[in-house]
Amino acid sequence: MVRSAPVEVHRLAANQVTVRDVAQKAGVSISTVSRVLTGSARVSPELRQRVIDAVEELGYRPNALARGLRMRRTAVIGLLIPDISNPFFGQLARVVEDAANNRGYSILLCNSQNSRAREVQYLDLLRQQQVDGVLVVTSGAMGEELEEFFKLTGAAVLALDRRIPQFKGPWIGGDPYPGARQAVQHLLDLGHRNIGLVRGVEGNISSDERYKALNRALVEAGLPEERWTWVGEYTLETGIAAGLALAELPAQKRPTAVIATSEFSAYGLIEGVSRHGISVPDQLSVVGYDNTAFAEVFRPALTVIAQPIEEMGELAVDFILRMINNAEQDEQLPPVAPVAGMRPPAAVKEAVEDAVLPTYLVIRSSTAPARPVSSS
Amino acid sequence: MSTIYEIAKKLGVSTATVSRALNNKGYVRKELKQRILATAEELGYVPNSLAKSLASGLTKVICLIVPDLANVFFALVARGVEDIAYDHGYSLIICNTDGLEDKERKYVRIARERKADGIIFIGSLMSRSYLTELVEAGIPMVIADRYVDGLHVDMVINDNLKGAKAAVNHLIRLGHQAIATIRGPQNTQTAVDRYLGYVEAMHEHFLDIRPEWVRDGDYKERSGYVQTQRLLALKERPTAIFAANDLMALGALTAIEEAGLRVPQDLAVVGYDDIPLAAQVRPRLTTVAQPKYELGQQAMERLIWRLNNAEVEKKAEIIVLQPRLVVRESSLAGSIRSVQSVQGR
Repeated sequence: MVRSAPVEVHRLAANQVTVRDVAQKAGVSISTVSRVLTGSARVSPELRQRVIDAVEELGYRPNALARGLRMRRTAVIGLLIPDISNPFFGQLARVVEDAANNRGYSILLCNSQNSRAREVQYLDLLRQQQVDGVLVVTSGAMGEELEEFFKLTGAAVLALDRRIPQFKGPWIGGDPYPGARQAVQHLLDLGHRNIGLVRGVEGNISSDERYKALNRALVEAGLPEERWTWVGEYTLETGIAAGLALAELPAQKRPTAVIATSEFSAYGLIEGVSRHGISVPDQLSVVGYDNTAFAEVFRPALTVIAQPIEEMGELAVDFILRMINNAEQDEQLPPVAPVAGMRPPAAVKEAVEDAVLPTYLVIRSSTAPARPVSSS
Repeated sequence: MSTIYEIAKKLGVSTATVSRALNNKGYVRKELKQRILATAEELGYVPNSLAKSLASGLTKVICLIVPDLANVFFALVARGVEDIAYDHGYSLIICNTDGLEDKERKYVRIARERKADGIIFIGSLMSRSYLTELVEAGIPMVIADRYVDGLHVDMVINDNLKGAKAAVNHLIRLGHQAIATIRGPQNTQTAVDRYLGYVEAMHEHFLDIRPEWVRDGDYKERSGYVQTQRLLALKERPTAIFAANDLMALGALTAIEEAGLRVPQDLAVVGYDDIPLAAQVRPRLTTVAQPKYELGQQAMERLIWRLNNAEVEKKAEIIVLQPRLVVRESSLAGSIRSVQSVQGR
């Protein structure tokens, strides 16, 4: 879907410090300011200092919308993710950095640790570093902050993996439904009829989407929805708690298979049930979500609904570079009248659409034929 | 967002005075300086890095050059680096080299082109010449995880030899004598040191190292699996395996299980790294935990110290972090509970 361009930029631009103000304050020409800012030519130390002082006093920050001169591109893209030590994001960061590097861009890493305060702080840092674009996986909120960041900097902003409410820019992520359908079918084929879910927190768009996709797949397969559902963050601890809770149910009332909507909650689930002597996959089949490098080496190797991590990362870089380049072409258009010159960055927004990549099932050793309940 | 102009206006002083106070340069009366700092905080002043970098020539950018951030070891190191960088207002540019020299060179060049204030470098063993160039060019650098001989640069490293020795000594204490090892790539210092730790422990206990017990892996799970199959096929089968990392140890566990043998009763397995999930796999993996997050933290702290004390002629330091043996089920039979109490968790 193509997002419509916002039009309230005029008002915002009015009270913004421009390079013209800097020049006036420093008592130099705009081209001198430009030379100092871009470091492109010789300027006397005295003039240079005056420009720097003016920049600092006025709180000038180069702005793609308001700037009259074209600043040098930094060829830096910010990557704002929750935590790189989560293997999903580690792999994503790796793919993104490779793809960016191949095209002459560097990646600036920002781990938010799911803290909103830290996300906001990082946006400010990214603005100071004048990044050309930002790829964002947020803890959930942040839509308004991102819109503001976009307006202030004109940098390209793209949401990755998780959808962000109130954010109007493009999004690239996985569609949970294809993988969910395959997972449910796989479990049905193995004779499972009692399937439980370990889902992510409620109210988070992506978490809700995964849950809905799985419920839809269950209902389409003629199974009842929501008979066993455990809720929590995408962590080992959530899975362990779910596993312990499952093990405490009477044997006849337990699911014979569980689908977890993150990889770590699947590992935790296996850990939790095994503390009560329930072994996977003999007594319980487990399907995870994500497909990081761990899924392959875990014992038992984990059957997962796989996210297309590589495609997602590569496409994200491709998209954001298109957005950046479109914005650049836009700036190279002949100058227009000063007021009308504050054009909304339509090209940036319309350069790309949302992209939804299908998930798919990877079958490994954590799923096996259902055993009749009587034998357990 | 406020500027130094607003701070100056509020206090009725010149912007130059505010600038001197905030940047800790030049003379400002102590009492006034405190008032300026308090006002800056009150007004939510954030330094404008553009102005700062134009004035100081500093970019507040650090390049972190690592083999592979998809590897959770390096990701944890990166987290440590990044947390400290964040606290000090530095931005972190990440570079994945796969440990390949040409990629390392390329990223070093990029770091210089971008005028990064400093570099944290985790490289391969053989790459040295351009590191010398960097040092001579005066670019602040800290080498992490790998020791590079003959280079006068701060380094933060893990003691791999000691960790490996502790792992093998643990097996020896359990009564094992026929202990095999699956080594990592011998062109990396970590793998060489872990192998040397194995050799030292065996020699100190006068134990025989049969050539066929020394197998070469590549730190990937598959190589641990394949090399363990070879070990199992030997006429004189070892009773324990020390794998130079956890991934190869996991491969070993799979091969042993497929051969219908039990761990640790038939064969004990010890890994290295303590990756996440080492405590969740079955059997839970005995391994050597090495500081990862802390390694990154210390490297970044050291780099910031260098950046802030550029004028201090201080000799390069080598900071050595200590490994810790974590005993679990793959070497020691027993209930989960008793093993857990050994690790103190």
